[in-house]
Amino acid sequence: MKFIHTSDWQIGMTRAFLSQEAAARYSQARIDAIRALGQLAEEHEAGFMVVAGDVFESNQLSAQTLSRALDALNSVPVPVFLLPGNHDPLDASTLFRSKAFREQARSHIIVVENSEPMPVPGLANVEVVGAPWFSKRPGVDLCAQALKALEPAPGVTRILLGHGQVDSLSPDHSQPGVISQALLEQALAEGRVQYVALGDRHSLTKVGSSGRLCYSGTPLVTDFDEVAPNQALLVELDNEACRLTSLTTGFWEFQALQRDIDGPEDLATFAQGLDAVRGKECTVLKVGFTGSVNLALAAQLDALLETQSPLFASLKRRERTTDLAVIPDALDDNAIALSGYADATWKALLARAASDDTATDALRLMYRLAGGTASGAKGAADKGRSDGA
Amino acid sequence: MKLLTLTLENWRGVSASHIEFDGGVTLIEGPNEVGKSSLVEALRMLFREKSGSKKKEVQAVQPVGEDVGSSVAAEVRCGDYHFEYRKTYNRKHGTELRILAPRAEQLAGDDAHNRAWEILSGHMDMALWDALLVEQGKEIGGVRLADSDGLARALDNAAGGAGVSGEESALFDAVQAEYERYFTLKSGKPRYTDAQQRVEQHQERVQKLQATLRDLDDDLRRLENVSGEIARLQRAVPELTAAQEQHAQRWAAIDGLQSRLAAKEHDAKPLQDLLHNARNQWQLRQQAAADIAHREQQLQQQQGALQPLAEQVAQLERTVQAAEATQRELQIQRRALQQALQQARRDADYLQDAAELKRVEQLLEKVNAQRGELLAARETLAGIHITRAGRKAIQAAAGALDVATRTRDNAATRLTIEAQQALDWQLDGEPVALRAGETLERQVAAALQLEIPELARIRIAPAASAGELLAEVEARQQELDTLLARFQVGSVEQAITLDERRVDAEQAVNTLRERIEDMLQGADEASLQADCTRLQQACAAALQQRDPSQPLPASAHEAKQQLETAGEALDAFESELDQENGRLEEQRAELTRAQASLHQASIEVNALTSVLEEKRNSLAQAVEAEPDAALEQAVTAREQQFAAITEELEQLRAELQAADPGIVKLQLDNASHALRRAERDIIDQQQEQAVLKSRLDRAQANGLFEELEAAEQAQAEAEDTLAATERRGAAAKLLWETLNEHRDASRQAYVRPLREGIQNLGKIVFGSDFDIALAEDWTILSVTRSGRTVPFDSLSVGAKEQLGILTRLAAARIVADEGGVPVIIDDALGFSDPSRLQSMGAAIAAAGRDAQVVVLTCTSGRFMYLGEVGVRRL
Repeated sequence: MKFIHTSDWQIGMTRAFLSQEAAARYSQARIDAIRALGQLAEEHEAGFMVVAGDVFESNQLSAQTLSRALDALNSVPVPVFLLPGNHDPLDASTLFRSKAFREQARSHIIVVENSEPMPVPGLANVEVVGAPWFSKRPGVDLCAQALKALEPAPGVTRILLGHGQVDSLSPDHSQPGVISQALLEQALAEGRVQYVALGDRHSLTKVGSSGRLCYSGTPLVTDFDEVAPNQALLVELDNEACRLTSLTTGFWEFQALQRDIDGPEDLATFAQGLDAVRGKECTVLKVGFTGSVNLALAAQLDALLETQSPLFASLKRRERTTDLAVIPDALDDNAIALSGYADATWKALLARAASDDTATDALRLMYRLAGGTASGAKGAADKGRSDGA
Repeated sequence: MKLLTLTLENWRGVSASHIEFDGGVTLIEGPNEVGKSSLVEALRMLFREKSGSKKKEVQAVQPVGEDVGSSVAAEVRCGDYHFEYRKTYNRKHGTELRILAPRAEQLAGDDAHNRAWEILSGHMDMALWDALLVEQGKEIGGVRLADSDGLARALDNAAGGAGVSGEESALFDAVQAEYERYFTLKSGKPRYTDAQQRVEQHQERVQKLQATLRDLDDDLRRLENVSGEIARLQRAVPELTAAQEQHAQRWAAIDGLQSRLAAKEHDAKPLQDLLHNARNQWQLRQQAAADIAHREQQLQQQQGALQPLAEQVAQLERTVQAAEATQRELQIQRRALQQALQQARRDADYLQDAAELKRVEQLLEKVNAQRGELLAARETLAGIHITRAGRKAIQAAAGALDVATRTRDNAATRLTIEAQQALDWQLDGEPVALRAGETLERQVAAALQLEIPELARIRIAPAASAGELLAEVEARQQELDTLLARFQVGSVEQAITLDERRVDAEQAVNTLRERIEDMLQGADEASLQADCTRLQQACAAALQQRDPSQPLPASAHEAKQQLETAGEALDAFESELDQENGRLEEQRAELTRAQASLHQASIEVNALTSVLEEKRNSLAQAVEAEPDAALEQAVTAREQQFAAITEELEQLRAELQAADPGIVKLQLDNASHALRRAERDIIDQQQEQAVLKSRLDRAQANGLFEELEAAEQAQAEAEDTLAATERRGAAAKLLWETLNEHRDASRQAYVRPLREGIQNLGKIVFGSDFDIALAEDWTILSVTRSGRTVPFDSLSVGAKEQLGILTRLAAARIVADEGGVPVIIDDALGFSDPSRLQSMGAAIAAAGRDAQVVVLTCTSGRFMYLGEVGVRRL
């Protein structure tokens, strides 16, 4: 018996650092991931699919987003169990009970609305037991509650569907909704359930040593700190064996980089690195720079980012981790032979630049206006938009 | 740049003209309309206007009435370049540029124009070109050179600067353009306020959406709470209902007990009333007997008190009678004393009257004596008629007579007859005898006839006036006689004597009258006489009345003493009598009171007796109707009945208290309230639940979250944009300000060499003490000559023009090293006098050593003072 374990689709999520154009593609990618999962299910002959919470980013989504998601879901060729999670709890505003959902969702879309064991259509002796969230602030370990109420059913393969942090991974054990790993493992050991499909962590994570307790991670990356996103799990349960296969579902990349630039070589290396990135249009980069550069190099860096950023879904400096000192040097002076009052102006700004970022900016501007541009970065002289970024 | 040649064809009125220029000063002479101004115009147009231009000023150069093109050609050396440049305007227009050096080039059309412009503007400052060019008809004055890059360069050199790249101006323009992207040039206001507003709008939108989402979240949480609360209440209701029922049962038992108690209390009430009634009657009977006993005792006491009162009254009556007898005796004694006093008073009066009588009689006697004298004096006075005034009148009349007589006598002829022997003769018929030696003197007042018998009759007549005087004497004499007759006196002497006697008599009368009045002392004699009579009668009456046996008091003093003694005796007796009277009155009052008390006591005794009688009768009747024993028995019977029912009541009350109705009621009420409250709360909460649900239903699929995400994304983007813009703006602003600051400072430094240049040339023209003040933008502020400083605007037109030319020359001189531009002075100095023209000529020549100067004039004499000059005539 095979099924697909996925979670945290976060349909409707947007990212502030994306431009409008990229944001639209990113949103579409989340919908596309659903279709991809449907194809994978078909390819791998999975009998059904479980989504362990956070199908939606919020209960307050637009009708359009919901319709698109449902359209994609309807195209999945196997039954899909949807578990309400912390982002889309089964509260009074839940999307799962909305008119649009009821009218548009086909019958193979099954919402887990309580912890009663649910048979999987078309599969004998397989049941899904869910621990849905009813509010954003559960007072108890919902999985433990579901297990407690579970009547034993020998001969039935049961899959527990849960959402939230297990206590072994959660940094805050005092949270009332934290899931007890020990209880889950005990249930697995006792054979009350055969697999625990968890959601909430966006990175694919195997918990404990049972081999049957996993977070599938999100099918499409949502943040820079995710270790193994863009995946889903193909679970095969046969007799006593449980086999897990990770499936690739998305191809967007979020990367946070840190680069030290102290000379033209460093910049060249960085430029090569950028150039080598594949699928730039689906890649989000934020780069922190450290080190010190002269005006020419600063202009080169500006120019590089300027030319590269349209290629990427997003290419930005990490302001928080950027500490790049721009220190004009003799080379800069030579590059723009100034005289008279212009020269006096240059020197006055130079004196101020040590303690005044605006003076540094003014120097960079003057450098540019005086025609001093880095070789091969001629474009920097004509732009005005990114030199202050 | 140096101009080598300039050629015109068909240019306005000039059909053809060719000029070769000197390196220094070139003077081009020619009469008006010969085309000097056209040279300048053509030169400007060659550099500035494309050959195909349709501008009005371009069309204007076509010769009037000729359908031909106008051409201008110049050979120019500019930096390394040497080229020939030619343009034809209007008809068959075209441009040719032939570059001879450094590399041969040949261009035509707009390419040629652009190439020429490129070369020229690369080597010279077209602004300075314009500034230095003076065209005929244009105003001549201070020229602004501040925007001239070439001048700046030259001045930078002159000021010892480090040399100019030639791109400073371009840099400045670029910086200013950059600054103007972010700020307005005039007010320095940011141009990116729309970006700021955008950020604010996005922020507002985000906040609004966040608030809406928060509200939604609150609704959700509230709904959870409400739903939980409803469930809890619904679970609690059955429990509350059971408790309420339990308390209600207990209360029902208590309620039964309370009804029984109330019924019993209702039964006990009439029994208690009956007992009360019996006790009352028995008590009334006992009270009536006691009352009678009490009254008897009282009556006895009252009767006992009557006897002493009667005795007291009798005693007092006796006392009063005795006192009244004494009273009568005392009255008799008083009358005797009063009589004695009266006698004493009469005696005193008599003695007083007798003494008074005596005095009055004596006085009257004296007065009478005086009256006799007074009478005599009055008789004397009656015989005298003369008055004091009369006497004076008589004496005056006598005096007047005497005067008149003497006057007459003196005036009269004096006749003195001395008898030498006795002689008898007659005077006026009167015999006169004179003895010897005797003289007779006579005044002749009237005609006098002297007859000496036998001897002579002598008639002597007085003078005529003697008659008047005589009349006067007679008149006076008559007056005197009249007066004497009037006052009945014989002579003047008698008048005097009588008057004196009158005075004496009058004095005597007065004296006597006064003396009589003194004696009378205000009284008149008649009343005195009456007093006397009255006193005589009184004395006689007193003596008659009086008891002759009693001796008269010896004196008035003694009488007075007797009177006082009698008065005192009477007073003493009167006071004794008064005391006696008072005592009697008291005794009488006491008697009256005692009698009243006795009377009152008798009345009371009578009243008591009658009341007592009534009571006794009434009691006797009551006892007859119902004997005491019957009453007493009734009381006992009622008491027994009442005790029985009271016991039953006590028992019921004890039972009720044991059941604790207060607490049971409290618990019942509380349980009912709790139940009601729970039911009400359920309804309230369900209502709120319904409201929240409907609100949340409406909020489904509203897309709020995505709107917020989009808004936040837009906000972040707007903020990034704004921050970047602000940062770039700040940089541009700082750069622009710093650049301006240093440009101004360097300009300030350039002012000195320009000023020195103008000063040096100006000294040639205006004298060695010439000085000027330059503004920062290099216009002339004021001029100092011969110790006087005058503002530029106040200078004469001539002086302004001269200074304008000198400024250009000075600037050109400084610019020259850097290539500079030719200074073209067209038909200037028309306002200058010959001596000034001479010195201007020297100044122009001096400038020409460094820069190319072209002077155009129609007045060949005007520049005759120019020394080093190549002259061209048109």
